[in-house]
Amino acid sequence: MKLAHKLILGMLMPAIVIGLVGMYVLNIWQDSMRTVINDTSAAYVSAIMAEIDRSMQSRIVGWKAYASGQDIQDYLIDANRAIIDLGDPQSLIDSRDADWRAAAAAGKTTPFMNRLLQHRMSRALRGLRDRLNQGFGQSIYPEIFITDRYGANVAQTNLTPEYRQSDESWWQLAMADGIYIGNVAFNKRAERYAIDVAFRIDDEEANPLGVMKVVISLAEVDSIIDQRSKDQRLVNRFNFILFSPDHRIIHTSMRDSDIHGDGASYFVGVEIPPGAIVVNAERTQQETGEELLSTYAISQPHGNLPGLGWILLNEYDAKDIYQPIYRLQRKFSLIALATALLAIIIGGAIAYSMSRRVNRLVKATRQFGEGRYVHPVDEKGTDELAILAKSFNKAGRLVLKEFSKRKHTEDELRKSRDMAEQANRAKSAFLANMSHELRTPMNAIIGYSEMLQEEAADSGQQEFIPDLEKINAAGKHLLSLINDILDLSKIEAGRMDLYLERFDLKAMLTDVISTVSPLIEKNRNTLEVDFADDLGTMRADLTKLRQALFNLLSNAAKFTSDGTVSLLVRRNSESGDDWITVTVRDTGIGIAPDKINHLFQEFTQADDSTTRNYGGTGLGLAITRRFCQMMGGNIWAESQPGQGSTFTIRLPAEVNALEVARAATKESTQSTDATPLTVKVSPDAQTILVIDDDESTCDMLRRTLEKAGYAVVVATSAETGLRQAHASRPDAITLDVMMPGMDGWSLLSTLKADPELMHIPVIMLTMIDDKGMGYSLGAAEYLTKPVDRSRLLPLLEKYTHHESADQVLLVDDNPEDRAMLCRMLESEGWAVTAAENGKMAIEAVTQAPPSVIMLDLMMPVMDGFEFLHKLRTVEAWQQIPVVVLTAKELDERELAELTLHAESVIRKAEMTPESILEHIRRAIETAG
Amino acid sequence: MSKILLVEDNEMNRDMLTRRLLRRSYDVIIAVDGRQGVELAQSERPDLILMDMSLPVMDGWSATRTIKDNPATAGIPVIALTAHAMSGDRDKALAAGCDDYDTKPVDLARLLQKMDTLLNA
Repeated sequence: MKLAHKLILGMLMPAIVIGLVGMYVLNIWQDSMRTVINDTSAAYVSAIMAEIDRSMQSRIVGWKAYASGQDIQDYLIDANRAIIDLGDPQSLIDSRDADWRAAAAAGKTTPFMNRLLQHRMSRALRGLRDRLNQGFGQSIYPEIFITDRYGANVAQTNLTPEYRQSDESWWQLAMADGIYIGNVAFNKRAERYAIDVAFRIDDEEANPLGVMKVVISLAEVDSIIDQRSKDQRLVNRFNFILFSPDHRIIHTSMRDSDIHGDGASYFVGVEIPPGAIVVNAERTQQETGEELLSTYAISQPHGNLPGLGWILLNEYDAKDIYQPIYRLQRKFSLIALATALLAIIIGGAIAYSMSRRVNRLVKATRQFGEGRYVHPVDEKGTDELAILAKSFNKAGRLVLKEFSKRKHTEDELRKSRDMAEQANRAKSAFLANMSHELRTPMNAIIGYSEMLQEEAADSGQQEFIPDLEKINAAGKHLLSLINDILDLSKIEAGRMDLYLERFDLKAMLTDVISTVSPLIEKNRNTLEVDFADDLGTMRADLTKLRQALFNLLSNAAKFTSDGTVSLLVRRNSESGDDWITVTVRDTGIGIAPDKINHLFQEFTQADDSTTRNYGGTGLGLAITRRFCQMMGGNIWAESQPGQGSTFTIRLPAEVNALEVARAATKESTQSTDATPLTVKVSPDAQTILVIDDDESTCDMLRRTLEKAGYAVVVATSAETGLRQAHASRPDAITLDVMMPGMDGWSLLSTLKADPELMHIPVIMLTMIDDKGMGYSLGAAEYLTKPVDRSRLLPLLEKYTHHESADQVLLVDDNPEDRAMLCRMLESEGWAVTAAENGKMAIEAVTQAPPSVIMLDLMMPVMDGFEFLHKLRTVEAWQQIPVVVLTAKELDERELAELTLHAESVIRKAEMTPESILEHIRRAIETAG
Repeated sequence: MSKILLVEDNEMNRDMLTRRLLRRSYDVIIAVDGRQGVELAQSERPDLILMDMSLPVMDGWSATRTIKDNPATAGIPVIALTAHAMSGDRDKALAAGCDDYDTKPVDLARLLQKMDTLLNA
């Protein structure tokens, strides 16, 4: 998830939470508002119902009070008495009713009917009715009549259709209950709905006297509803409907609706519990689908009067009545939406800006991490990001500055190094030239003086001979001086190289002795020699060691007269390494103790007078010491004046190139007159696998072999040995026999049975003397323990030296170089193919890919670079090692190209047969 | 009488060595550069060649190689003479096909010994 998304989410979350809380509050608010609206509606509708109730009840109560009046009582008492006086009231009533109904049906009146209508009480009732109606302005009371206690009419405002009323339910109920309030019915006389109300009229003793019935039209109720429906306090539209208890519509404010009809549809799904005053219901109108709020108010009893059973319904269009809620919802939604949008916009803007800035920083940091500090990051503003950017820029600038400073320093260093190298090269060239230029005239001086001596002797001119001898001696001295100075300069310049080779120590000593003998005999000295016949071989720089020994012996001879010069050579072993100690002792003049320390310093002899008396350059010992140090050894002197001197050289029997280089490095860090040193002989990269369960033997072998320049892999069991043989593919294996687990014999047969390993020579190194067994199992050599290094090393050398007929392709346009290299390589056992240029070389490679290619760079037709390029584009030829041999000064690009495509580069100026062979061997090994 | 071919460009060295060899009854012929040395070796068939290494026209190494490459002259022993005392020079000379090697200035006794050895071989 990106930072920008996180930020937007962070901004949105509170907005969403606020929105949710808001919706919850809104919900509560809506509910309470709805309740308020519903309650208001309920209160309003029930208030109207109460008004209707009140109006009706006050009329009923008024008429009841009128009916209980004394006048009515008295009238009824008289009427009841009169009818009893006439005999059986029932039969009388029956006969009168029959007459009455017949007349009424015929639309006639009987005299009795007329008498009754014109009776005092009838007239009084009519008068009251007319006055009341007049007062109301309409016919409120269409009909009033009174019956006696037997149910016969005794007074009436209008002619009733029957005389007898006792069979009517209203009369019976009124007689029974004291009051009867009838259902709503259409009154033809009033041409509107009306109710019948009847009262039982009692005397003071509560004896029933009769019943009075009043028909009350609902004009007043209508007017109440009509008037209220115009009230617009609450909402725009009212829709009042008054229902009878059986849900017929009594009155409605909707002029266009079907009045007086069945209103059952208004009660679908609505339950009005008994005793309820008002009921709210939200329902859907079936025809229009309108949402409605319906409030039903039920007529209530009052005092002794029962309720009318009427129901007043007010229907609101929910759209209208809940308008405030909807408005609130709309507003809230709008606000919520606006808030969310605002949150998204602001959040998005902030997130975009932040993430853009952070991304810039991230990008810059990443580039910085990749080593490119390109542009400073925009750092406008004061917030933490700006501070971060500022800090980053500051760090970047600082690093850049440091970097460029360092680069500058490096450039300077490189320049001065290049200059130094160039100066060094110039110095070397100068030295080489000087060597030639100085020696040539010296040659003449020495040669001619010698010649003149001979000629003077021949021609009998003896007197010239001493002078000529002096010229000759001075010349020789000057020459040795020049040689010493040149040697020393070369050492100082780091151009003195070690040429390590293996030689027989005794042969070397014999050679030196024969050279030095004349010098020793010159001062009538005797040479005593003491060394064993089996000194063995030594690996060192033969020339330098010879020069050192010659120097010591000639010094001894020079400073000794009529005495003895002794040469002692010993080989001794010290912590696993062999050392050669050469001691040269004389019985000469000796050296004062305080002078000994200066002996090995350049241009210093023990005494200034020494030079006068004995000659010499004073450089010999300094050079000797340097030679010894280069080979990892040292030289020291002991002497007493008059007692003679002893010089001792101690050198490792196996001069190890790596150790020498290390020693030189160590020395160069320790002393200022360091001797930089290049070692041309690299350790053989050949691998020996040592398998022996005895760890000390392994350790000893490892050190011995590593000294000799081998890479060593050790296994302490036959099983590991087998694994290692597979893994490291050694050039030779040394194998012990007595081992726990698999023994050496088993391993030997396993090795010799493995097609991948059978070619590896195995040298048995064991206590058991059973050569027959070893050879029959395939061992190459058999040595018994203790291990004799002087036997082991030559054996290893023999087996690890490639007797290959590897094919060498020699590409060189110079016929002389080609011939020389060809002979040299062939003498090493290689098969050589030659090509004059790159094009011919490609043809040669196409015919038979060689094991190694030796390549000159500057050639006609196709030069070495082009050839290399073409060679490496062919996949099959990519692994062929190439050793470049060139006289060309290579620039950086060329060097890089060669590093990429060639195994090694030898400069013709630096080449020696040894180094060429070494390079080629190594190249083949690397490739193989 | 052994015939020695001396290939040497330096006049003094040439003169000196010639005279000393003549004195010791050697038959001496002279070449002043490598090419001439090669030609004389071919035409004169000397018994031994003393070859300076630093030569004009064709250097001593090349001249030696050419002589040794030619079957007609390959059998003539060559002693390299060089002012360079480094062992690398010796190896280089031997690699070029020289049979022996001596440094200049010439130690006549030593050189004569080497010549003797090669001539009598």
